[in-house]
Amino acid sequence: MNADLEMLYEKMVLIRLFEETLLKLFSLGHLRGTVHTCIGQEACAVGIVSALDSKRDTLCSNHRGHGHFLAFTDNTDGLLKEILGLKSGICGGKGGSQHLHVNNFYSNGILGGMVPIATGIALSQKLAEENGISVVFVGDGAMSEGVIYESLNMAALWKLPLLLVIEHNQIAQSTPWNLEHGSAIEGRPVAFGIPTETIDGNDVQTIYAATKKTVDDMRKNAHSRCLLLKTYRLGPHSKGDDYRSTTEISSHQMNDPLKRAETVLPEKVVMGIKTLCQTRINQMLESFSLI
Amino acid sequence: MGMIIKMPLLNINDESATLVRWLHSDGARVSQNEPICVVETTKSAVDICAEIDGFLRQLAPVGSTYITGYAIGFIASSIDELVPNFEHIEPYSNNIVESTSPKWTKKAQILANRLGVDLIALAAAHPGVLIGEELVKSVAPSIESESLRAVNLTAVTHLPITHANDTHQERVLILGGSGGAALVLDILSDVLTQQAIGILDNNPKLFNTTLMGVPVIGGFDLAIQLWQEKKFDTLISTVVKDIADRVSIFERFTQIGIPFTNIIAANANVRRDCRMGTGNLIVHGSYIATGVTLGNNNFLAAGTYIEHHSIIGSHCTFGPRTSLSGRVKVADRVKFGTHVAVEPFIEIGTESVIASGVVLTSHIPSYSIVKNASNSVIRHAR
Amino acid sequence: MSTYLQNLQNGLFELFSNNSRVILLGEDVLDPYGGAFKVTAGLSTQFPNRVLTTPISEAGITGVAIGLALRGYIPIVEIMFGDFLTLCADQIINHATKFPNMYRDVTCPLIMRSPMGGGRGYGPTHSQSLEKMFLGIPELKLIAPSHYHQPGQTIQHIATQEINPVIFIEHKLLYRETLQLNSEALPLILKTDETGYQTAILRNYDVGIPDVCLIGYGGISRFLPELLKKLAAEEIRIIALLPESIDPVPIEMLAHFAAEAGRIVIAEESTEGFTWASGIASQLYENLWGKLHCPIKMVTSARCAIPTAIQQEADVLISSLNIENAILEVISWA
Ligand SMILES: Cc1ncc(C[n+]2csc(CCOP(=O)(O)OP(=O)(O)O)c2C)c(N)n1
Ligand SMILES: [Mg+2]
Repeated sequence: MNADLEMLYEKMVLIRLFEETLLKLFSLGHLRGTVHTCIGQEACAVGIVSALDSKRDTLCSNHRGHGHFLAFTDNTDGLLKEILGLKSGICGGKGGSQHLHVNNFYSNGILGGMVPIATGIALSQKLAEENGISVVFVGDGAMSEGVIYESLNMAALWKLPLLLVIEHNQIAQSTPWNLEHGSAIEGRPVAFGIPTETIDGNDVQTIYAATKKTVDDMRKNAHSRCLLLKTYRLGPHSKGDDYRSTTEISSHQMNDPLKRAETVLPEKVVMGIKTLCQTRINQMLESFSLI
Repeated sequence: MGMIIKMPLLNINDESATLVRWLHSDGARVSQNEPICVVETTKSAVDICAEIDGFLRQLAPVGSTYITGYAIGFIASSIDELVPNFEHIEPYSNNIVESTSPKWTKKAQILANRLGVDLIALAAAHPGVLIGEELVKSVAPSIESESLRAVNLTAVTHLPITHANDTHQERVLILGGSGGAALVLDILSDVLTQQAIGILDNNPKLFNTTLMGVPVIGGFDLAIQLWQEKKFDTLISTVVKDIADRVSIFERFTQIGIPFTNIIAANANVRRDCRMGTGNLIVHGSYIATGVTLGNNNFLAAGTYIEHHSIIGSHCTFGPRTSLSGRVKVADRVKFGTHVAVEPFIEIGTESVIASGVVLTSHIPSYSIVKNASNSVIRHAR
Repeated sequence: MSTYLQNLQNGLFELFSNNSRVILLGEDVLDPYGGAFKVTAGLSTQFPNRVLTTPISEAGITGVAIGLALRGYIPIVEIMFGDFLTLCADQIINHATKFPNMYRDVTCPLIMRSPMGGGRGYGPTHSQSLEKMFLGIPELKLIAPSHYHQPGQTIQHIATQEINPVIFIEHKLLYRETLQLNSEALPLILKTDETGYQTAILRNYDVGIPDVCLIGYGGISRFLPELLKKLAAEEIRIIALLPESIDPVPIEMLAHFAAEAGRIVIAEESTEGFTWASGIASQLYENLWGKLHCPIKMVTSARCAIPTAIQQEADVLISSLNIENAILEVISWA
């Protein structure tokens, strides 16, 4: 179990350090446009993605997708180059932070828009009979997009191997979830006949375990599932655009998924992993002459 | 309550069907679900059945095509029930009104308009024939006017820098004693090669008067005697009011071999490579650009501008400041008012009259009177 | 002699027989109904696993098709009425066309099929020609065969040659028309143009140069047999050009033939204002500057909702008479 946690923790640390670096590079004027970091939500990305088989499973992601991408591909270099706008980036610099693709990973900047596409990919997986699963990440805010409900209906109707992951960080850009939703989100996939499990989105081990179980089940009996992860965005929406009170944010600091993993892991292991990841990031930055 | 029988929608891709035949006569008793008529689309023929018991009233004749929903019949529930009033769906029409037997093709009509051909006259001359584009083209006024072909054109250049030598002065007799004569005299006072020796006018009151020192010596007839007496070398006509007069005067004397001259004001600018006949009076400040052809007996008032390669026939009069752009074609006996403007390539037919201030943007057929200041079509309604 | 509809049906049959990666999705496409306009009639019986009837979720099924396209399938989506393509716009514009552009090594061979056009009394929301809303989108092609083309061949060409999204437009009134491929009345040349698709070239005369070049596409073709005959009787020589690829448009070919006439009419059923025609006209002005005898005349439907009632609808939609008047107008220019 601890071996799993070490592996999960290392991925979370890498994502955290990578994104903190992005914010720094942004401040220094190296990045254009915008970046949405998943600081505080790393457990969602890592817990879900680590339970997938990147060969046959596919992942559709959203605007806040660095964590998903790194957990799925471990390609820090390709991602940084892309965000820096280099020709050698994974999308040649055209995509930037929100539009990423390698192999089975696809992200796009239109909220909810990838859900029908993930549904179509699930259909292709069903037709191909290789037991692949199509996973799609959405935020709580995106859950107001109509096309998602069209997709859930089709996924349920055709018994497609679609796994909808809702990262419920209780906010959409600046608007708290209770100003956007008239009912609990978790009830909605259920209404379409899609079993939905609500999980502590900051406990990486629980997420990982639940995903494994869900995915195994989906491979055995093709049908759609939903996991709703209750989490909290510790960072800004993108950069310098956070109007929540510091008291509110700091009240969630203790629930930081990294800190929660650290309480379980031996300190030596934690330090080792942190040093390892920091070295990796530093080497990456050096290779770009950014430090 | 009876029931209207409507043309049904038989096929999604057909919006209408043909009523092939009635299976019962008008007024016949029919019962529910009994076939009452046959209708047909491109794909299939179908029986329409009565929806109620009753008496058939045929509302539409067979053989025609009706749009879906069209009331083709009525089933009255009792023998004396009237067909109710209802709003018929109007069959589509795009209101094309065709004249029964066209005398000309549309192309012929458009070309006739463009080339100034009188289609009505042409059709009258060719009864029973559909006038086509070829026939219109064949009779289109040759813009190189008939008379221009007969004109003996000589190259004339009258650049303002030219200084004539004064060894021999041409003696000019002026026809017409009013304002035009004064213009000629004024022009000749600057021209060393020509000299006015007298004025003829048919108004006896002017006899023995003088104009700028030149005497009015008699009527037009006197010219013949003076010519025989070798008292002058050439004529110039200042008659401009009535073009027909101007034409007859010119023709009368040229036919008996009395030549006309060209009078060109010293400050008129006739550029290189221009050709003209005789009898042309070109007043001060006019500009005849290179390549222009001018027939006989034209009167160009002060400041007439004729741009390059325009072709002017004979007996035309131009009011002051009239401007023709490049490659304009003017037939014979055309009268321009003051300050007419003509766009490039425009063609103006014989004996047309263009009122002062008109801006010509389209071709003008022969015998037209153009009066409105702007004859151009600003926008075509769709 | 087959109709436009039969040709399209046959084309889909051949396509499904020859390529097992082709999948069709749409509302009410199963037999015995076979689609609102019967284009898929028989297809689901023959290929039950590859013809999917879908919920009424135009955006959703477009997205599903995009997902299939990303994973190696060739999806054809039938949108019951072209008017509903507005619901698919986000998936087409922000997803399908973006992927091949911004992602590396990704193709998205999505085919969106849809009937457009009025004349059937379907009213304001079922009669429009909305293709102009999708013009000029990078990586998106719009193909609209006329009944001088072979829509069944064209859709096979798209499925086998195109790697990126295509909107395939079928005018509702063409379905029942007999294809005019060997029409003796009007000599027809089908030329493969610079877009790789075919432009139908019709002339209503044997000798001489044309008076007017008429450019149109899709459903406009239904006016031509009658109109060109009528104008021929009036000695008006028309060269009509009907490209089936309306974006990209074979501008070089159009300019080449239009130059001959020097007078151009562009006809289109969409409503007036910011039309396909205006785009073509601006390119033709550039190509033919100095060679035109008069301004290019554009004919469209009126700028208003398309009524249901037959006469009202006819008054609003482009008609043969509108085109004829435009032709006479451009010839009348000196
Ligand atoms: C269709 C669409 N509408 C609006 C936006 C702008 N936008 C980007 S992120 C965001 C908030 C999304 O909230 P949520 O789905 O909860 O995801 P989170 O940012 O919380 O991860 C908004 C409104 C967008 N990208 N796409
Ligand atoms: Mg959120």
